[in-house]
Amino acid sequence: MDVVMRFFRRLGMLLRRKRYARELDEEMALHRELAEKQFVEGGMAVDEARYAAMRQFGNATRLRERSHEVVRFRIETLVQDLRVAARRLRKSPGFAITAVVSLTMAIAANLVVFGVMNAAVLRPLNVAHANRLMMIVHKERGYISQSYPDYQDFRSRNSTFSDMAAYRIGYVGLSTQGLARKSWMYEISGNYFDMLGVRPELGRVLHANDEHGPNSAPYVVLSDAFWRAYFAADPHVIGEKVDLNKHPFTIIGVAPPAFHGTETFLWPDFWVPMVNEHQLEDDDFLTLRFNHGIYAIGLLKPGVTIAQATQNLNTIAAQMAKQHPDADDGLSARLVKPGLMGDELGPATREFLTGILALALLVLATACVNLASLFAARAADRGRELAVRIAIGSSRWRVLRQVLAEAVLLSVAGGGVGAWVASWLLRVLSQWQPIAAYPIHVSVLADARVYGLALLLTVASGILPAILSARQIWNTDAMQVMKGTAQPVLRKLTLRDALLGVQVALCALLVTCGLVGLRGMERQLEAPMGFEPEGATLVQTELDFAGYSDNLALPVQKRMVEQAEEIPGVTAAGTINNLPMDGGGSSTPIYRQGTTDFRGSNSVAAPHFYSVSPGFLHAAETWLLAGRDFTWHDDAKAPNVAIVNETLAHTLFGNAPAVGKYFAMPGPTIYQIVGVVENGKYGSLTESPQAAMYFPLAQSPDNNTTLVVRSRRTSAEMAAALETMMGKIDPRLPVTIEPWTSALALALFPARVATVALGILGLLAGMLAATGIFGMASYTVARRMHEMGIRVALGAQRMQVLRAVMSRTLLLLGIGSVAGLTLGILGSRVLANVVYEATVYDPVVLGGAIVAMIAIGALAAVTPARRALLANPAVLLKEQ
Amino acid sequence: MHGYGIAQSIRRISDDVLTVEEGSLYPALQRLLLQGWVKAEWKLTETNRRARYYTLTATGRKQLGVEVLQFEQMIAAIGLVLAEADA
Repeated sequence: MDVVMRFFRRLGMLLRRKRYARELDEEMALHRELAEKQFVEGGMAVDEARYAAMRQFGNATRLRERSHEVVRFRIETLVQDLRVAARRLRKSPGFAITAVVSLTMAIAANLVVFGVMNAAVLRPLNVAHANRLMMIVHKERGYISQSYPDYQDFRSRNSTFSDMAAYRIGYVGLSTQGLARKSWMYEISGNYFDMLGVRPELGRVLHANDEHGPNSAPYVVLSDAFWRAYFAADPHVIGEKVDLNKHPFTIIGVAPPAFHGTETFLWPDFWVPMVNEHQLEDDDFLTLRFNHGIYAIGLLKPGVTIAQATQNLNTIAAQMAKQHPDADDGLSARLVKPGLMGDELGPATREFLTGILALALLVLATACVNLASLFAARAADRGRELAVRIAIGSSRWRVLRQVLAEAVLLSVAGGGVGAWVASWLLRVLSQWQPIAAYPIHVSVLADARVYGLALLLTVASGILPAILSARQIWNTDAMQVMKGTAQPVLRKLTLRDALLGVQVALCALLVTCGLVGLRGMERQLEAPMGFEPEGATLVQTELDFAGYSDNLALPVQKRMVEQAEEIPGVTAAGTINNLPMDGGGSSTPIYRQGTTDFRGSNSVAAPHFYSVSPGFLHAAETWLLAGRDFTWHDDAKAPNVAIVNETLAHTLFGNAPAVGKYFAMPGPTIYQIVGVVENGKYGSLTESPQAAMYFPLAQSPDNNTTLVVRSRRTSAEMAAALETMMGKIDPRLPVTIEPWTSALALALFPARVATVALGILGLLAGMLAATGIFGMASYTVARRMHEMGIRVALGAQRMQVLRAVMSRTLLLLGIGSVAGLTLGILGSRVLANVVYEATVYDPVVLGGAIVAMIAIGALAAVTPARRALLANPAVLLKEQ
Repeated sequence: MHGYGIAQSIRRISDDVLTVEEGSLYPALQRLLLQGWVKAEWKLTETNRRARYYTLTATGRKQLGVEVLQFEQMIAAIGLVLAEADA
């Protein structure tokens, strides 16, 4: 209570400051008069008495100040300090701008990385009870999809989940009238929205009671973004019909803008019921227990642990394995956090982001050291001024406060601008779709946590310069400094030297990282993929949009291949159902010839498989090592044949030739191997050698079609010719024609992101560090100009003197570079997580780093050196 | 009493032993005002001059009691220590 009253009294006094000052003056005047009167009464002359009274009273101004000091808030001093600091900074704009810009860049970089990390790794999905939401996957790493009947059994038999839902990601042709537009959808179980607690923005969402069996629920729930883009946010869209792959669906609602489904990076345009999948995808997996094409998520019951739920599900899995040995043999269950495709993306994303964050922090460290050394240089310059102020009685604390105010202003400015830049960058990032073909969005979240980090970084970046300044001020011996500039340039290491060394080391480290990233990327692109994208053009079309189901597609596909081969300049053409490394594709278990029990555990391999037309292998330049390619005679009436890759041939038959031998698939169906092709990459660039096999299109119909055309002509010419050709074949078919190299964007995306990130960070750090080194080095040399002047005047050779002065700097540059490179080598483990095949033991990397450091060092040393060599000794002597 | 009067009284009563410097008197009065232990009023002196008169408030009186007590305790303690030293 006391404190409150005191506060208000203070406030009152301060607000009426003028009146208060006047009153005090009046009081003091009276006091003086009375004293004067007393002196006069005691016998002094009037004049004398007045002076005596004034003297007795003391310094009136000082008294006023002290009285004010008692009352004023401590914050007033702070404001005053800040104002002085601001004024001083305005007088040296170069220093201020350099400091603020470097801090801004460093802090913004950190905030952006952290924002992505926040959304991808730290924050759970934007749904109700997200902490209890789990994805149900298999025990085997990377095996995350379930089958619909399995999901239904898990759901009905468990005792540890309050509910389970399923979803599947795919695309359809959506049309209101006219041409179909490729749109991305989630097929979901009816209870999806209710389980996640998602309320519609408009209309209603799907509910479990909408489902009455296959094809019973032709409803669509739009996403907010799609509603705004395609339907111009028309509120009357509810009840309208749209065609999905030529089947009519009714729009029943729009989801809220913040909901993007249950995958952090893949945002659908709309949601449709899974029960209608036959209409949507011409697939029929609702009853197929061995077709694993959906994802299952579940909400744990409150109080149930992950371990309990896992055990519960595994018990059920064991039951299912016994009841359905052919499909569910070896079934297991594991729970992972949803959002990052189970553990397909999760660990990789986490490691990558952590690595990048570490690098970003290093960049910040560089900026801080930069700032600190800038401050140190400035403080050294102001040595005399500080000494004088201390000598005339200012407390060291006051002097320090003023210097701290400068540091605070700079770091707050850097942090503030950095946060603003970061929030703008994050906004841009969240609207960016890195690969146009897929609904990938980099979700970022700039919430309290990010801004908290901004604050923390701001404070942290101000600490180092503050500490240095404090140290310097406390150690100032006013007398010594004022006596003259005879600062003994001793051989011992000063703090500034140490800072320079640290900057050099950081620069070397970050340059190494940048080079490692670039080389890794280069190496990735050179890795053999089992096909040659250079010189090949792709024609991608959706036969099902025009109504060609699997069985009706074959004649169209055959015509595409044959007509493409007739285009002048074309050397080969063929189709495939899923391109390797295109994010799709399937694998299936195969068995030795003669197997009767087709349980999963009896399989000999589970290769990737593709349906290809004759000519594809030639068009893709996937080299045949033995045997032959398919022909159009390998059709439904002929015996089943297949072509395998080297890995699969080796797995089946060891070193014996595989051509002519057989393998089996459930049925049993026997396949004869007619050819062996080279190995390649089928899923991602970083996979270990995988088994793969190809079936003839005529025997394994699939209306997914990508035509690959190899030619000697330019991609523009080919695009025109192919477009004409497709128009003649069927003008209703939507076609996308692009060079194969462009289509590989998805596969190379992670590598590209890594390289760009590393490149930007490396460049940023390099610039920061180089500026810092340059500044510090030239400053150090400049300080010693005076000494140089003396030496030269006394008769020393200029080169000798220069060498003496530069030696320290060059030594620091050398030691720092070595230290940085060593750190880079030690830290290569971290880098390996970020970039595939990133290794530091690469002559280009090491050589490049060394060259870069020498270049920076030379530049840093050259300018002041030239100045020194050319200058007049008299000028040097005068310089202080 | 007004500021000058306070300084004079202290000097007179203590027989010129204790003098309060004007430089410390007024800041001290400010502090007392801030704490709410005295209140100030502008009144006219005998010679018709405006002066600020300070009076103890109720809380001030209580605080005075506390301070006097603490002071007496301190004196007693010093006395004991000196007596010990003597003995």
